[in-house]
Amino acid sequence: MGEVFLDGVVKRFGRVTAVNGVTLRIRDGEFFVLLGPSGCGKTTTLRLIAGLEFPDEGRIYIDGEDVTYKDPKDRNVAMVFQNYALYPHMTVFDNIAFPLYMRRRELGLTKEEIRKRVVEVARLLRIDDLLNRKPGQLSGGQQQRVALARALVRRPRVWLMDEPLSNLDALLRLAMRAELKKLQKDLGITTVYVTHDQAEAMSMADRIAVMNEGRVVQVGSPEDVYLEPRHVFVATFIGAPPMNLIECKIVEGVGPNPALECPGFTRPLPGDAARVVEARGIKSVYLGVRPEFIAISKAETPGSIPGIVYVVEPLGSEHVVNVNIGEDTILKVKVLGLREKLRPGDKVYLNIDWSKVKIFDKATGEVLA
Amino acid sequence: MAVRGSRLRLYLRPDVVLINVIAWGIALVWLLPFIGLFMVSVRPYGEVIVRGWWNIAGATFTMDNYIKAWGHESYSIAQGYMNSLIVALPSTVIPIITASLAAYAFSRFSFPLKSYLFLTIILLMALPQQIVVVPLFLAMRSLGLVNTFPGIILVHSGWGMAWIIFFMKNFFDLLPREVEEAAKVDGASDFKIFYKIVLPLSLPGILSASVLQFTWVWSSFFFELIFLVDPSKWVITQRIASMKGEYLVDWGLIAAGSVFAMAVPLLVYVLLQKYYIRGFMGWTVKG
Repeated sequence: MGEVFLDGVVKRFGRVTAVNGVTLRIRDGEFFVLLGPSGCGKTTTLRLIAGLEFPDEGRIYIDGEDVTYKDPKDRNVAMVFQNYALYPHMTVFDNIAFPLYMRRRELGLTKEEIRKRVVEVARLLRIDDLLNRKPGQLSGGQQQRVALARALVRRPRVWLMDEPLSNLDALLRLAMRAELKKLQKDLGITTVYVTHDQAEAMSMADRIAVMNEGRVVQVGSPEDVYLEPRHVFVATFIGAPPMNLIECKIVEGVGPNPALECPGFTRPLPGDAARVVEARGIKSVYLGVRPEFIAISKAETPGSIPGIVYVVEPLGSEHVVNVNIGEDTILKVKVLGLREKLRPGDKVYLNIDWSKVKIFDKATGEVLA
Repeated sequence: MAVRGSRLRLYLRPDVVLINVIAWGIALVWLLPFIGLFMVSVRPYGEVIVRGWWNIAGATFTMDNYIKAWGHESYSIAQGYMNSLIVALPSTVIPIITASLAAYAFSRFSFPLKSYLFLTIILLMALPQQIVVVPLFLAMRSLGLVNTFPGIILVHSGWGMAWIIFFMKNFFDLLPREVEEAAKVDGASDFKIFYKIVLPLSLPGILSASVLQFTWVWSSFFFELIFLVDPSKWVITQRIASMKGEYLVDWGLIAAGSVFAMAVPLLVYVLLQKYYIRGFMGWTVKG
């Protein structure tokens, strides 16, 4: 009842290609997040699905129906805008009822049925006591709920959301995240959600499409994009702090495999990475490791990497320790509860969990292993 | 008590006092001619001539001038009111409706030569009426519209459209597009969006444009002088000018006529002042 399929969609604005060959299959009932920095084409992609823009190339299907050049009103999608876009001259009731009145004949609704549906959805979102107010008299959170109600009332095939939480204050945003996710799961409406906030994407999505410069870089579950980034961009965009990238050279190793020569340490390349590196003749790579997969200690152990504490950032339950491992390479290490007090200038030893390490081609940014 | 004390202190602050003195000074300079006119209109002509309008000691106040002007035998203000309304009302409504539609198109849609067309409209705004009046007269004469109300209404409507398109386009540009896009996704057609969303939101702009256009048409003299020849069709401004006799100028009569003429735009302004000011401030989120 709400599968969206984008097939090689291209959208240009003058000389700028905002969306560049995007192919996505969004499953029925899925909470799908388009994630990326500003200007990556995520909002344009959403507007293409809504019908507010038409693509220059490619096709868009909803439930197998080709809607590429159909007007928004013929797509049965609903949209929640970043600034809510409520009708300021109408009451909350009229705002929510508007989509029903616009399709009254098509849906065969009586005035009483419209009233019932508005009250029902208002009750669901706990705004049934605000129905007579105008949007100007509501708080940001209340306006948000009205916008959600307006998008829900006509039971659309697809729910489109353009950064709907970004105008709320931090606490309310956290509360709304959970609420929105629960609402979506309860109602089972296919949802395409645009955000630039990776934490929001990670916490809400069933699947995430990470976008950059008009292209989809990776599609996967939150765990996938976090643990198995396919590109340097995904590795650095997702996670706070992002994945550490260490620039390393490929040198001849002691055994049959080549070795990685990194600032502060040298290490043999794992087998599968070694094959790709040799096949493509790659000379330098990025070694990527998430801050939580590095252990820090004041005592040296075999294979540990020495470094100097640069700065310690306390974040409440955890600390992020910045360690200089030489050649101005600083690694961020996430530690849950510091056992030893660390000060800038202290000598420390780092132990990397090598099973979690990613290796990226420095030239293309693509993952090798 | 404390509140009153602090308010008093605010009133007596040097900058507040200075601003008030300057504002009242400017207001007085603006008001003085009107006060003079009003005094001339409510006192016998002889008394004003001899003692000056500003001298109110022992003045006689009378409504004679108003009564005489209202029922003037050759140039009655009563008929002038009627004629001015016949001209000014359609000359406001017609260009407001057509120019708003055009302005919405200029603001929201893209079409060939859009910017050149808009540039032409802006250039038209800069033309003085005197430059176009001869070709306009010839055109109206061949249409048989000289000395008719539809003719003068057409001229005023055409003349007003340029600035109203400009004014309303700027106003529509300020309306948030997301609201219209939301309506589009909600299933509204272009016309419904204009009628249900844009129009109610632009009411302040439309009303302030209406006030301005109505005031200008009401006080217009030049076009009427050219296009309305028959004295029975003369509007109020023409009548006041004609009250000046060849040998005797009864300033009392003319002053009363002028107060009559001023009263209507003033009333319109007072009634629509709230929207008028909001129209110039632009659109605000708080409804």
